[in-house]
Amino acid sequence: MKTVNEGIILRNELLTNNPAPIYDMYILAPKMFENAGPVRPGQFVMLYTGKGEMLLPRPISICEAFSDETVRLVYQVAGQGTEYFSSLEEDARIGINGPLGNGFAVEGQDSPPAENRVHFLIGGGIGVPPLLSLAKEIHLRGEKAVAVLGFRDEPILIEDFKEYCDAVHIATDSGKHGFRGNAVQLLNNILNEQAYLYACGPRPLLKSLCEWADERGLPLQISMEERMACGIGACVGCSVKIKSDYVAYKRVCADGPVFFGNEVVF
Amino acid sequence: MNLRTNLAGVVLENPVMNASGTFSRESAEYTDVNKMGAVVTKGVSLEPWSGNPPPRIAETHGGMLNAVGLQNPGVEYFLREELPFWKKFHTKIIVNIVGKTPEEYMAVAERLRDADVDMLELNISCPNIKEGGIAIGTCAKQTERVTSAVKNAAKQPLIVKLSPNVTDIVEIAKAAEAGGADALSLINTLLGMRIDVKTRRPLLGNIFGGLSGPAIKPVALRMVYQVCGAVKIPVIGMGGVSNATDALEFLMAGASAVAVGSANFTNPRAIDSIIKELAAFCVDEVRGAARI
Repeated sequence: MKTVNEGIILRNELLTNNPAPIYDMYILAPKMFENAGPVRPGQFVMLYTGKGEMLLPRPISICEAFSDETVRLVYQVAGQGTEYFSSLEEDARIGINGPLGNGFAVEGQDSPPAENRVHFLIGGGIGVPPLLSLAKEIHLRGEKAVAVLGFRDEPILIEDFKEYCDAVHIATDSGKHGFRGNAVQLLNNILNEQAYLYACGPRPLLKSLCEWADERGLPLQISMEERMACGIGACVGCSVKIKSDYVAYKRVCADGPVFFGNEVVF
Repeated sequence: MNLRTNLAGVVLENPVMNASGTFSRESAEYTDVNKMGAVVTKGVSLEPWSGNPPPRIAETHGGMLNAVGLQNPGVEYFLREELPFWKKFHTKIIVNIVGKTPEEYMAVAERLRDADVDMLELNISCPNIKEGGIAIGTCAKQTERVTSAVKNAAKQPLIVKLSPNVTDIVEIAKAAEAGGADALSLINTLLGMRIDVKTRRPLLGNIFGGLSGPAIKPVALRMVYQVCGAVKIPVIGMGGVSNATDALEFLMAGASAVAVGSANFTNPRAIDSIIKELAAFCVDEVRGAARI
């Protein structure tokens, strides 16, 4: 039987306060890996507050997983739950369940690696962290990963991405770092070849990227976010509208969080 | 320890089941369904329903709001894909049925006549749909009429699930009993809302949603107590049951069984531990009892 495991916080450090506090947290949870197997890029965990007034676990995407025992989560303080997580210190215990959901499928993953295959990873704000493990997987396959990352004005995880990517392009809304504008505008300036696209970020960014990719016929996978209750598929709360004349919604937690760009209705 | 419970002629191995819409096939990876008194399906309608626009979930202090709107792929899909899954377990199966009109409820009950399920639960209390649901369950006359119509269409014993969003729950409970209900389940969620002060907009896509969780337990318990004193048919108590003590409170109020809802989200193994704790409580109660 699967269960909620107890994890031990190894590290929980503030990365930036701009535009909101973003923390970098490492949780040691070997039992979780024992029960559920390896983590795929794009999967997430549910973190349990253990507080009676905060009933529901919080979904947090996995930034990286190490040696089948530690997960790295980079999360933004967005409400009561994440505020509580940010207060936890080294050695604190936390309930963790995962990895959950279906992650990204690296294009061509079932065939031998092709050196000339290019994967573009497009991230916006707090949508950037889950792309790191994808970059790592592509790098380990020996294929080319290019990151196009957009932020309000303070980039995060750039050095981490540089480790696995052939190129890391940065955009900021304020123009403080890199290109002035968003990740899709920057992508439009640099991408002029056949490539596979993967994205995670705010809804408006994903929407414009879906339209952009659709016009060019480029295959795109996007990771979605929605308010969840259970995280395991039971409550049908985290719905995303899809192109279907049957049931118009899919569950982000169990059917996603990664969807094809051309199946989502914005 | 024997926790066997008779619910309108259906014998459950123990008095603990899930509340409809809180337990899916995925939940069976966390909770041993064979150990549950019964499994209650998510609401099943005649045709597929898409449900409400997101966001559908909002947490509240000690509770949560949901406005899912009974999204489900319909009775044909249920019979083809879902029922065979639940049949693999040794437990009783209760199918929660939903509709927009009395005829739709009847058609679902009719379609399930030959299905190998143990009981039906008539959902006339969902606060998240515009037609059917709560519109029926808040009116005594309609409750009796629809109960009686579905009872005639159904082959299995019929549980009627009641809404707490009424002036007098006893009046509705009696109407369901008069309509031929074999059992009652209560309470469904309490209608509520939340507003995001940053965006100045309601937090739920549907504006209103149903409140559940520990926050509603005192209301649920009071209503179960009132109803158990007023009807002769068995009652399934629910509303904020998160542990064995909560379950005992409902049983002490007169409920024959209890259902666990939101607690499945807080702890996907909640039902497992409640059943274990209940058995332990029974043992502790009698151990050494004859020693003077």
